Amino acid sequence: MRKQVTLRTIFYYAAVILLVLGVTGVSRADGPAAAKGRKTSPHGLYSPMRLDFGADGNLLVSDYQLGMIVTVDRKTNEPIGWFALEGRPLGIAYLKGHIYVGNTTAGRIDVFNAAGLQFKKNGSFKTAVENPTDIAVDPGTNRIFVVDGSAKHVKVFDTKGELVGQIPASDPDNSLLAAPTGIAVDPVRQEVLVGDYGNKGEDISPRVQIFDYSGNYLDTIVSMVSSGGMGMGGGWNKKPRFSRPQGLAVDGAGHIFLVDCFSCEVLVFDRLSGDLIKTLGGFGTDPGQMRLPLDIIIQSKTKDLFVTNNREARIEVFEKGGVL
Amino acid sequence: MKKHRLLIPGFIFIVIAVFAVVFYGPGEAGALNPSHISCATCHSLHTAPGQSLTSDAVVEVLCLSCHGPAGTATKKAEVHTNKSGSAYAPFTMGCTDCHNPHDNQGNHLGGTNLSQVGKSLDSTGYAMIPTPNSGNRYVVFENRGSNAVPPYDSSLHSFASGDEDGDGNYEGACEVCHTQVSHHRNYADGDPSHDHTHFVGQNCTVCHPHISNFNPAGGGSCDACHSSIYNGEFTQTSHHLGGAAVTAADCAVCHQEPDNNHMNGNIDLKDPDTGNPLNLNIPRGATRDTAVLPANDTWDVVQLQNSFCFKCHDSNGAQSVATPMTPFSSGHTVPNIWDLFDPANNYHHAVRQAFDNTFCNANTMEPPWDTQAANQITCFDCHETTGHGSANQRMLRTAIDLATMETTTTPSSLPAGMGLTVETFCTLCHKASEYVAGAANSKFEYHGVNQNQHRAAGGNELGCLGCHGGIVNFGGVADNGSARGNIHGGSFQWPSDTWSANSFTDAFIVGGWISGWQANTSSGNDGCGGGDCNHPGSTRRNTPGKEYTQVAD
Repeated sequence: MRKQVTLRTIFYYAAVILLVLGVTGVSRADGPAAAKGRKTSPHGLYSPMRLDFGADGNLLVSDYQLGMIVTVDRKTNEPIGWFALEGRPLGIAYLKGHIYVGNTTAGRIDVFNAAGLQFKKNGSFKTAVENPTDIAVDPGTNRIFVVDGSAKHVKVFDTKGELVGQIPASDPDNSLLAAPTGIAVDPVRQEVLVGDYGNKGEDISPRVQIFDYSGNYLDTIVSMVSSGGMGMGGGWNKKPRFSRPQGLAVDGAGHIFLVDCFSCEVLVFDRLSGDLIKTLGGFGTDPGQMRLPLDIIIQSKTKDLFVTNNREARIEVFEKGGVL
Repeated sequence: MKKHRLLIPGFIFIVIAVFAVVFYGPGEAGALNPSHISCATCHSLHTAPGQSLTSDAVVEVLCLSCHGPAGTATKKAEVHTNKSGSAYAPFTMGCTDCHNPHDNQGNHLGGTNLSQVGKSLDSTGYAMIPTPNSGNRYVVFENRGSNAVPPYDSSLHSFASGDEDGDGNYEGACEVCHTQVSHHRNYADGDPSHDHTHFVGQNCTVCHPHISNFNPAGGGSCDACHSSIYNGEFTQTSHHLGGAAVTAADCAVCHQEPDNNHMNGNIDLKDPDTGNPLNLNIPRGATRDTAVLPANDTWDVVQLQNSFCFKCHDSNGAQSVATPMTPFSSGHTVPNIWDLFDPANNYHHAVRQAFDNTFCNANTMEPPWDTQAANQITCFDCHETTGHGSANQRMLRTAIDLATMETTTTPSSLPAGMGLTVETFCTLCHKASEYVAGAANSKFEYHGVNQNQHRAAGGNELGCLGCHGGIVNFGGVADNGSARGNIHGGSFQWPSDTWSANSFTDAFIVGGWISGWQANTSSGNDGCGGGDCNHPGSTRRNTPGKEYTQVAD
């Protein structure tokens, strides 16, 4: 007997579709930590971009609109200090008493001491970095890795500010890095990981590109989302769906933490398989939720995750969010 | 069952169609901006929890994921807000308040707007912007052409057109809303005196960049907006930096003007030692009413002096800068003025604390000396408060040609009236009736008519500075440690072959005429300690090597 397609049938299938989507496409592997995100005071931060741990273990946060580097207490999540720079900061990293800041206005890397005083003599790297969107450092090799969003590559400097390398070593058609954003280095594996929006026109999907320190291409974690398209975290068959990959972090145990500023989630991958292990956060204004998250760092001992929650002007803390 | 499965994509199609019809009229999704590649750039078919098939409930996040500071788009933007601390109620205009994300709009002048400015809000389909106070207004945002300064191209319609086409509409992208701001006012009455007198012809976004919430930022460079300070105050006769061109980094040594307090009506300074902001509430354009003593100030000059000036002008300079003694790009060393005012010095102006000097009392001093608490003065009793620069040397309140004094060895070559200028300056505080016109044989006989040659009117070309400290390297002789140039304060011993050998001077002696010379004898009129004084019958003047020898450093 032939069934009639009725309004009731349509709603039935609509319910089925929503159910399917509910357990796959929009599911989040929220661990207990995801609910523990806590708000910080809105005072002190205005437009937090990137962050790193400072000398005392507190957070150094670049605030684009303030034109400042704000120090946030790691335990209380409250701003406790700041210093200004001549221009708009984006990337930031701390290495052995020096704070390296990507000055997007001046198109250079400015260097400050731990107290926030800029080194007047050789206070900035001589080599221009037109759009220094993110910075990562390796204390072992004293290398400073700077994403130049305009040049579409990573510039590698020594601590004297001398340019010593470029990642990828060669990429004339920008196929290896189409639209680089965030960066992390894995000192254990001697790898450089770069978030890449991809290029819809060239059919390059959003991805995380992985290189060795010499700039040789190693691997890709590619999103199932078509290049330039939208998608939420999670995915089918443990394959990730992200569309706007930004900041990255590694835990030294083979896990990669990626912030998708569009889905507003933290996605955790297995380095070797590329499988999605876990997601945290999501869109919203409540604690544990984010709007336009841009960067992430992980505290090695506690496994706490700290994420810049740009639109909410705060640091989102996922206590033990790095415990897998 | 197979037929049922086929219903799934059908259902999805229906959902898409419904949303498209409900939320977007025909033509809304017309010519997609090429840089956005495809619908999927912003929309997600399967996984969008938010409205309009975007995968985010707030378009702001969607747009800024690419156009925000950390995004990869070349056109950077931020939502339109006012500054924190603004006198006006906080507001936020999101991306779609001004932009149509799907298409560039045609405008009522027959052109097509750029940057997807405007929305289709009426039956005509012409681009409009919903203004907060004036309803929907036509907006025109076209290429300004090649001539962006007067005389404009006839086709210019951009940020603030000023009704260039004379059609009675003020349709620039900014001025459709900004009709009552400090600048670029739009009274819509056609009176050219009413508006557009501020950076005429300049794009608003030069000083109010989109990436800075449209707040004044100048792209991080102070010069972008404050060129008059760069090219005016810092190019005057005397100015901070010691002669070099000012940079934005130099500004940041003294000023703390982040976006959240920039343009708040106050001059926001920072503590040069800590780098922390100083809340001195100095109103913009503040000056000191020096015509009235004590000065009729609306701001605390003493606090400014102690919390700001002396934090830099001390022995350790500006501690908040990596090179404290040379905080500016010029490399000019910060003079240590704080120590000169040390009350332990044998002579000093009473800036750091009251000076128990019996010669200084209500009979001898002008206000504020005898009326101000503790009989103290400030930097600004002698120096101008315009910290950037001054038309006068040393930023003094009076134009005194100290440079000529320092380089001229022949008194007759000194400009006429110089002594009187100095005398007038000093007698702003030190009563002229006592020190210049003091009665013969009075306590002040050495200054008064009894010793006329000590007065400017009596031939003292240097005025008070002829004997009292204040001229650096007078006569071309480098500082030998005397009181020269130490009009702030100091300690100096009389030369060993003078009457008062090895005792400390007071009253800022030794100064101009005296300090560059040393007596060969110690008798008679040489008692003042030596010098090229104009004593009657003396042939010593301008004859070094006779009774007096010019000191070699």
